[in-house]
Amino acid sequence: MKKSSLILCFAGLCVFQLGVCGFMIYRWEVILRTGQEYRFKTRAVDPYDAFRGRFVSIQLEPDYIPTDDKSVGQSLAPGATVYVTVASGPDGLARLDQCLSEPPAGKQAYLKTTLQYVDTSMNLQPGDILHPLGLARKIMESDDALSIFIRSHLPNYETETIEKSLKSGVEDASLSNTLASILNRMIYDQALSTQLLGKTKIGGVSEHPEAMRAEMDKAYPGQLAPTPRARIHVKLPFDRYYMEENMAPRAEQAYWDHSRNRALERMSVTVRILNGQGLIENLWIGDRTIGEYLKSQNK
Amino acid sequence: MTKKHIHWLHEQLPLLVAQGIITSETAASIKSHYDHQEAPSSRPLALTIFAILGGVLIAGGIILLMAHNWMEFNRSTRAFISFLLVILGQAVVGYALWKDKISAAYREGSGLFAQLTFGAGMALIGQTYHLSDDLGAFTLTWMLCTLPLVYLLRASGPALIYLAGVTFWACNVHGWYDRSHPAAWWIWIALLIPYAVMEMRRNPYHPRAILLMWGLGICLAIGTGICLESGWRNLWLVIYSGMFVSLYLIGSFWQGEGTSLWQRPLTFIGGLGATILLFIMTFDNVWNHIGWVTGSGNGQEGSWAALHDVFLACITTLTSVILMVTCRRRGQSFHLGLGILPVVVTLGYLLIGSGYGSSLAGPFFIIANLYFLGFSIMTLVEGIKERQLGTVNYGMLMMAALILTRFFDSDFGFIAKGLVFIVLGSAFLGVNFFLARRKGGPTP
Repeated sequence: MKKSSLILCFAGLCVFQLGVCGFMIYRWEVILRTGQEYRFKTRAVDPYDAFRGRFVSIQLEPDYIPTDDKSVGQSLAPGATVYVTVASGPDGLARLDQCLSEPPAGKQAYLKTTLQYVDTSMNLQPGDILHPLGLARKIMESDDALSIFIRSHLPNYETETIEKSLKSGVEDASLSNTLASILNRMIYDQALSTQLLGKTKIGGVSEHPEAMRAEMDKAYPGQLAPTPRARIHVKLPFDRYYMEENMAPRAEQAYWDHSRNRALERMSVTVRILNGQGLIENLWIGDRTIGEYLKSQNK
Repeated sequence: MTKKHIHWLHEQLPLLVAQGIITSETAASIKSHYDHQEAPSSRPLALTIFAILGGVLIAGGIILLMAHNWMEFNRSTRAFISFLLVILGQAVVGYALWKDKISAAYREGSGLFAQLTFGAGMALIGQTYHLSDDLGAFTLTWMLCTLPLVYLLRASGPALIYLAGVTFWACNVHGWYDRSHPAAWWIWIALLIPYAVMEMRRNPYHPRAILLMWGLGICLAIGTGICLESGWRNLWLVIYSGMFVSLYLIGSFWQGEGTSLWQRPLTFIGGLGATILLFIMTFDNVWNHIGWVTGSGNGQEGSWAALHDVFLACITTLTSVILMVTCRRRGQSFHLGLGILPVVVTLGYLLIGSGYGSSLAGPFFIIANLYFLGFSIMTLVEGIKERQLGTVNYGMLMMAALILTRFFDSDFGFIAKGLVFIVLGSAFLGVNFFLARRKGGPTP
């Protein structure tokens, strides 16, 4: 190739490469400047990316779309393109509302994404336990058949976690996790199923999770959020917030410190949504951005 | 000629003079001829390696500096730095293209530097806007945007990064939940083939061509497996045998005169891959599980993704047959024992899969064992004939592997196994005795 044509080709490549970078910046800048703003409650941990550095890995709460339509798993295959609408609740926090196969009509904000899987189990998420301390007390003190069964089947470490929380009066994430794990085991326990429902087992595990879930609602009224028939999990564009390398671990620590004390507001994330695309704008602890919060901790 | 060869020559020359085979003048002129050749051979390679290392280290350092994620920088500053990084890489490459006589070392180093700084620029944008974990799309955009550097600079370093990058993309795109299929990987690989052909035509023994062939061979061996749909049970046997044999034949065709293993990457990767594949086929399990569409795939049976495997099987088998015929016609030396592997495997797959079913699985299992045994004997004999210790060891290793696995195989009765072992042992001793007598010397 002649030198002049070589230089010409190279110039074309330079323009193309700069154009790609420019287009990327323009595309995201438009969303940040003109997109609708929503705030989600979130959980956080601190991982690492070799190229982009440390970030706070974000998980929205809840990170699924609840639906009572159990057949949704049959009509939508994993990997399918779906449109998830976003709505704000009375508490000002946003939630994933509906999962549609077509973009919604009107001006409702939505995210264009792909379906991951549909969970039709009756399992409880830690967030489904509305009052962890109240539920812990009931489990340890009530005389109903369910509580007695649970108490007699608790391993030592779980009993210790519950008793420690009851003693200190602190409602932290580990208590919710422990309670959810206990109740999920009970939903599928064959002996308990036989005792409570008078039904014998069918197949390898208890085949009556829905009836067992209803028994739990009966035993602990008002303690558990209603379980949807199915939970649709989609790939969400809000899963990481990049931070300075020494700040990300501290942000995670701040999250855990806050989640132990319900009196304080928990971590949230503000996002901007425009034409099906979403972008994280800021990560918050209470009413301060994570940067402001960590700076104030330094003082 | 390598340093080792020249050292050997220096040792031999006085002996040849002493025996009166050559005169001392001839010895001196031979010595001066090779001494003269030795000097320039290693320097450019060292320079190229240092330039590559320099480019990679500086760009890696920049990536790490950016990964610190300076909170003080606002979005505009970050956008400015992203552009600056890309332009910096472009300037270094621009200089290489502008200057008339630029060393291969600078071309390689600058190409790698520009490739990595473009990646750093993109990563910084991703970091600024907290883009979610889509490493596959990130890598693919990065690789495709920097591929032209390979052609403009004629540099194999960026080509190797490109191969690794697109293969990583294929691994990444094969998602568990979304079940997407990385068939486009073949297109991304094909984009590099013209460069590979160009380099091979120019000088197949130049380090640039050799390195590229190592990269291409390894990526093909890994990437093919990633792209398989697996809806057709054990069709990978046909695909891989065709592909490995094709690689082996292309290697024999283009780099057949390479003096060391390092100079024959495709022959090595293809030969080793085909041997391992043939060894796997000596197990009856493989032949018992051949069939048309099964439920073992990831849910796309009968779809275009399953057709991808069939298409690939046809292409690889056909390519290997055409290459074998071409090599034979041109009088290229190659191992016919390996060359016919795809034909045998395809025949077995078609016959067993077409409804004759398990009745033919047994005979093909025996054929595969005899084939492997025959191949190992052929390799051994060739090694002895050519006095190549490496080939002899290779043949011995194959035979030992076959004997050991069959000895511990539980599918055959002890009597049958014992008899076969005794017959084989006797045959070896008989051949040994026959050869020794023909040579007229004592049995070693």
